[in-house]
Amino acid sequence: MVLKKGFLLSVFFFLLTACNRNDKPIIAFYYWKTTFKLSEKEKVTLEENNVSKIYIRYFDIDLHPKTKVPFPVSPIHFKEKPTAYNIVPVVYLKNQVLLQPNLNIDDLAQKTVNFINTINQKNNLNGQEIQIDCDWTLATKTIYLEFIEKIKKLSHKKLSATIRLHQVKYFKKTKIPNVDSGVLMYYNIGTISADSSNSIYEKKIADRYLKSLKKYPLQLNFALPIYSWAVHIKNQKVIGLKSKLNVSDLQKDTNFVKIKTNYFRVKHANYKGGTFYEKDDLLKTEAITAADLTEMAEDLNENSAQAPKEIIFYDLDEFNLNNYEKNIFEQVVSCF
Amino acid sequence: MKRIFLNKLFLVFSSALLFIYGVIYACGGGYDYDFIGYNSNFTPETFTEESYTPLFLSGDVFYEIGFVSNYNSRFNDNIAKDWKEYLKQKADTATINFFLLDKSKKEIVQDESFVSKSEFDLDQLHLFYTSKKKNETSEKWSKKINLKDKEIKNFLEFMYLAKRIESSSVGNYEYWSYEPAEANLFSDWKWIGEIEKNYTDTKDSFLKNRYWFQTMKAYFYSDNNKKAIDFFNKTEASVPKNTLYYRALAYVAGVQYKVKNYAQSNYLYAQVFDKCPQMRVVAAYNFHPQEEKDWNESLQLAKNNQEKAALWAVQGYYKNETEAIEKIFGLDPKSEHLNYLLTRLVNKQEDKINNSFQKDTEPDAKAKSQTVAENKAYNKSKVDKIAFDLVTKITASGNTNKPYLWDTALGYLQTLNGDFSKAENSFEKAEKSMPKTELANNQLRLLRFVNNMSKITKLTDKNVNSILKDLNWLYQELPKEYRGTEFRYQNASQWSKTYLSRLYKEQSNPVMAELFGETNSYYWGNGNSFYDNEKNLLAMKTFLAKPNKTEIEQTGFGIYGLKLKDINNFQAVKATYQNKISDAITFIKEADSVQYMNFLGNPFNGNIKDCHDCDHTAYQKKKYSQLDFLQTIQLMQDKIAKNEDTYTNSLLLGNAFYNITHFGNGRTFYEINIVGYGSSPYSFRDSMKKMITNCSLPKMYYQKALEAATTKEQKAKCIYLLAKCERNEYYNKKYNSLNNWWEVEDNKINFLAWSGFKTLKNEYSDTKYYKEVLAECGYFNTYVNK
Repeated sequence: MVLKKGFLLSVFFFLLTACNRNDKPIIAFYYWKTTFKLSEKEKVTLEENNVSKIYIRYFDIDLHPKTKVPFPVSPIHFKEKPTAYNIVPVVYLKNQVLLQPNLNIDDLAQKTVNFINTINQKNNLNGQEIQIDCDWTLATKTIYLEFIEKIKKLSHKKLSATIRLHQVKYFKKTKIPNVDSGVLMYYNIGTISADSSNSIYEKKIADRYLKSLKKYPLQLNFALPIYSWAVHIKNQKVIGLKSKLNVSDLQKDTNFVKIKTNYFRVKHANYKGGTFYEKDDLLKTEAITAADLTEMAEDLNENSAQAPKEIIFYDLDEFNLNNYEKNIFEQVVSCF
Repeated sequence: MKRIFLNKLFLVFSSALLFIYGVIYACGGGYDYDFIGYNSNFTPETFTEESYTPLFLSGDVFYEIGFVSNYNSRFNDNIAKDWKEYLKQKADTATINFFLLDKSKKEIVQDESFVSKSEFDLDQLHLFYTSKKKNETSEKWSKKINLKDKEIKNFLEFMYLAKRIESSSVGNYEYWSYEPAEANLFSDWKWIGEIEKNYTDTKDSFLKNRYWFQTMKAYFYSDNNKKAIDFFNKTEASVPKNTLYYRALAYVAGVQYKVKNYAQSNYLYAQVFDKCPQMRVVAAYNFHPQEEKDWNESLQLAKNNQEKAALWAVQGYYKNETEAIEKIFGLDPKSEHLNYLLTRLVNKQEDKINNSFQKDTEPDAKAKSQTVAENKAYNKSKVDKIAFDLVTKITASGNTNKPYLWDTALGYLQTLNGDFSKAENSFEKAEKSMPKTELANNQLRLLRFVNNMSKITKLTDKNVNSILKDLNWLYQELPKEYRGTEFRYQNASQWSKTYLSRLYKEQSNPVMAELFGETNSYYWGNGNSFYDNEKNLLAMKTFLAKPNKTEIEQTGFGIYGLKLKDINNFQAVKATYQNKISDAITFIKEADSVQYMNFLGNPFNGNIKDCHDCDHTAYQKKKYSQLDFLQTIQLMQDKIAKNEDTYTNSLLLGNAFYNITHFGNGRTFYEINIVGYGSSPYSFRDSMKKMITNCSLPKMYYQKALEAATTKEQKAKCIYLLAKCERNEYYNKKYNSLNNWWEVEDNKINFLAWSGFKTLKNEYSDTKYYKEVLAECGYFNTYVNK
């Protein structure tokens, strides 16, 4: 009897905490442009959503095309100082850097940490966390894990890393970097192709991976897409991606004709936005609707082992913000 | 400009598509990344002026150079040469180069900034000239050059003013350096004024021209670069139209771009493209109409036909060359630009045709072959009718500046279109007027060959004879002369082989078809499946051994990668796996040196652990050659037949046959060109994978040994070795059925107990061998302790 009572009590307690959970994840953003300057709309969005944390891309690390030596590409410049926010520098490390034979990983880690520090110093910024973004593969997992270890040791800061869906599902093979938390990138799920699929998000594909989330041992936050782009297709081949292409503008342009949902055909060869479109080229627009976002949030919530602490939207840009209602971020977060 | 260019380039390669991890299939304008001429018979260099080379069709941004990277150094040689002439013999090359090009660092302690050594010296020399007081630097240099000489002084004072601008224009390219400001703009207006004053004051035309350019450069890199446009407009009429002029014009175009005056910017870049060959690639790179309106306005700005043609010439590089050619021909038929556009048109046409004789299939589906007729029909259907008609029309007019290029191109297009006799006429016409360079002669010969070969639908002695000479030229002579892509013959070489192979196949001659179209080149590790068919194998052997080969047979024989010994070796390996040892011995003896090749480890050893590296490094009293190996097997088999020491002989035979499987220490036995190579069985074709992973032969001998065993120790050993075979079979079965590596489940192999393990544990735990296994085999240990 006593036992049963205890059991009921704990069920009651569980229900109570579940209903009254007030530790909703916070709203954060990625800032992925090479110059930091917020527009009015961007500022207002941050304010309205009580955003205190911005993940800023500081630089990429790529191989120099000639010398094959790793170097920082397009480091960020600050036209204004994001002093009101908690800044997390993000470094995008190209996987091919790790494939380079005889790579000196100690040196690379040291340079990376130094470079982040230099950018912080020269701009009077201060951050308590670093995020490394890398689509590492089986061939590079060992060296990537080593890189993460070194960064952790050298930076003395909280460290996070981006995690892709396949790295969750096959984590025993791809391994888990030794970081304080991960960010699951819930986009770029499909391949960019000429067919009708949406490369940014496709529920069918995502479902194949979702179940494995529960078994993933690392604490995860979630990154969700709010970007859109158009895929430029010629003779059934993808020849380019046009980001921030305005669909309503396309609808007005007589050089383009809408042939079905998400598809435009080029009627007359023309220049637009710096791109030359030949007659009969296709533009397939790929975007994420508000419904997609809530669907993602619900799916993730159902399948995750631990509640996320942050939902990070990619990326903070007026063009993207204009595609959604003001309260979209609140709505998405409320699903968790 | 340099900074801007460079930044833009990096943008193209990285930041533009940041955070994108999806795979983009076939980028770069629809061409494969490796488009470097290996699918082409048309060498664009043949008749085209050198400055156009980077603009040839390529999967890269620019042909051969990839992208423009010599912004800071492209004119170095010219500049050095100009000053050398100006200074006559008054300073040596090293001195001139030092002041012009030195970028080595010299530290200045006071303000912790860096300047180059040359900049430091120029500052000091300037101080010497203005103060008329000697200093350390002036003393140093006066030993080398006469500082009082007028020209020397002009040079040094010019460089003194110019260097400061340089540091703004070149920027700091230390890889891991960071400047908080986006661009290092020049804001010392006094300095700029000084340069401009020198331009105004100087009478010397050489210096005046250079000060003019420096003024432009200074304005361009200044924090008010619109002044560059004003200055240019005010002065350009009096300036000679040399390279410096067009460099300055490109600065103006750059500023116009920056202020979003795209029509003007693109118009100017087109003029630079037109008039200044050295700047051609840069101008093309920076040509960027944003909207249709910009392009139309640029055309409006053109003052004459040549300027209009120039605009189309750049536009044709990015876009539709056929349209560009048509427009330019209408405006300025003798324009040199037509030639490079024509090479792009032809190369683009080539990109659409099928040289592989494989049908397009879904990815992952098995490739389907095309017949020769199907291939030709397909390629003909890919000929762009509009382009073809245009080239025909222009060629017929004969009104271009290089008519032979047009004849050559048209001839080739006619070949693709199936008009073989028209093509012959075109080539004949080209030959009459073209410059007889080696490349031109080779190009024409190649295209004539392609035309002649394309005529053949069925091989006869007569038509084979007509191409023999060219085949040998392609297969034997050209590879010795050309190693790179300077002459594109490799495609014709490969294409002709496949073409012949297909025809031989259609004429039911599998041996000749194989000679010209070798199955599964063994470079890929999967061997050659042609020999899985015994009839083919024997026919090829007969052919290779035949003494009087015809010429075409000789040609095929000459390019074929396999020799008789390789086939004998393959037969020896197969016979061994079939346990036909005396056959195997006969074959291996006919396999040249292979029979003497030693095994890396002792192939008769059977250890607890399968570790071929350990076996290879272990001490070996006797090294076994392949022949020794087979002969020893035969000896042991004879003994077993006579019931002599059946246990030991069976055990050793079990080991021998075990070691030549994938799991043993003697993989070199089967890793040969026809079987294939690879450390994983999955690199082998199915028939071979089955052969090398099959453990039934060793199992049979271990079983025999077990039956003949007399002691418990012997039995324990046999049981363990049988368990290894059992284990291998389990994994063979498990992994052979997989479609995809990801499907492999991480299983809990540690507690899979083979029946051999159970027997060993239950009945032989008191043996010494059992203890050895326990110590060495963690797998078994885990099972036992479970």
